[in-house]
Order: sequence, then C-alpha cells, then structure tokens
Amino acid sequence: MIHLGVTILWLLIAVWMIFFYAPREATMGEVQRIFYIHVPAGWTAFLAYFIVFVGSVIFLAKRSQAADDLAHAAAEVGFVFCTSMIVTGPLWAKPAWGIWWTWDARLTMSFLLWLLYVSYLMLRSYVFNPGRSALLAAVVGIIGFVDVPVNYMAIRWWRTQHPQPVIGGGEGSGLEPAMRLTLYFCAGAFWCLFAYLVRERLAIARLRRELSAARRASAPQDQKEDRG
Amino acid sequence: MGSPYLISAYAFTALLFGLYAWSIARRKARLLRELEDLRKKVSGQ
Repeated sequence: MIHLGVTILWLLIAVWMIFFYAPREATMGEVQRIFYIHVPAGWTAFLAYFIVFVGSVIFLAKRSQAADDLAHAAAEVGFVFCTSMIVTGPLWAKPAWGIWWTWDARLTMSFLLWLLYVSYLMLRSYVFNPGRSALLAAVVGIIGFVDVPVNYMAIRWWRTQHPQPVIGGGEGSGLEPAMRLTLYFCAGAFWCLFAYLVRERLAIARLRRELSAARRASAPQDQKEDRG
Repeated sequence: MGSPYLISAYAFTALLFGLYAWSIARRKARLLRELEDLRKKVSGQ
C-alpha cells in the first residue's frame, strides 16, 4: 500500500508540474506538454525490455523460474508503456509536423519494439506447453533486445523526422531547467509506477503457482470423493 | 491547455494505465478468491 500511495502522490505532483510549473514552449505551445509523457513512456519501455532481456538470459542459463516470471511481468507492463509512447507520438506529431506518422528510423524502430512486445506476449499466451512457451519467449526477449540500443541511437546516427535528442545530445542540445526538472520528475513517477505494476504482476504469477499446487494437492481427495 | 491533441494524449494514457491497473487488481482478486475457496474445500474434507 505504501508503494501505491507513493506512486499516486508522485504522479499527481508530476501532473501539477507539467501543467503549472513547466513553462509554455515558444514554438509549439501547449501541445509540447505531450513531451512529458511521451519521452518517459519511451524510456520506461526501453528499461522494461532491458529487464526482459536480462530475465531471459538468466532463464536460459539457469532455468530460473523467478527470472522467467520477472521477464514475463516486465514484458506485460512494458507493453503498456510502449503503447502509450506509440499513441502519444502521433498525437504530438500531427500538430508539430503536420503528419501523423512517417517511416523514419526512430519511428520504425519504435514500432518494431511494440511488435516485439506483442510477439513475446503472444508466445506466452498461445503456446500451451509452458516450458516451450517460456523458452521461445526468452529467445524473442534476447534477440529482440538488439532493437533497444539501435532505437536509442537512431536519432544520433541518422537524420530523422523525429527531433534530435534534447538529453545527452551533445553540444547545442538541452532543455530549459524547469522543463528538464519536470521531465526527470515525470520519468521518476513512471518508473515508480512501472515498479509497482511489475510487483503486482509478479504477485499474480506467484498466486497462479500456489493455486495450481493447491489444486494438485487436493486432487487425490477429489478422486476419493468420486469413488465414494 | 485547450489543444485536442494534448487532451487526447493525456486522456488515452490515463485510460490505458487505469484499465491495466484495474485488470491486474481483478486478476489478483480472482486468484485470491479461488485459492481461498480451494483451501476451505480442502480443510472441510
């Protein structure tokens, strides 16, 4: 409950900062405030896939159930953050660029990341053998991770429609201090929310295992009842 | 604060996370209930 309370409070302060603390951007106006959810959602989607990658590597190396659960939980929650990034991007692009979407390097890599999340989750849902499902998903989790660094570097390596980086972009890049503070605060709020959702998702995985163990334990008694 | 794009982006994100948090809470509550029912059934035998 403490984690949930801190997350809600952090999110509320972040919303206040976005609309009342961060200054209005001179060129784009109010619509630029989409930046404060679009960018942290993207960063969180990258972080989540990194956790999927690490969990998948550990699962394949040690057959660790905990690592597989973590990878699965991070993939499900990461998919939600990635969807937020994919949808808020075009909602910002339309008033800023005049188009909803273009197949430039950054946007294409981001769409590919979203498809990787979908593929991972489909493998978890539609391959009915649990061992095989975990194995195939781990392979997707490891191979797909190539997308993350390439996606991060896409706006540094290639000239794209997507803006050049404002954080860690080198000389000439940067943000007004109040905007930067708001962005970091929002990223912190998103990471706190991510951690809370992953924790809850791990609790579900643990409960599922407890339930199947309890069902197995009670099965002989049911059979006795049937015979009786 | 009146841009329809801005409102749509924030409304979509709030709805998306709200629905996901609700789905997690529902799944967790259902599993807890099933586990409790099973335990009661086993202890009653």
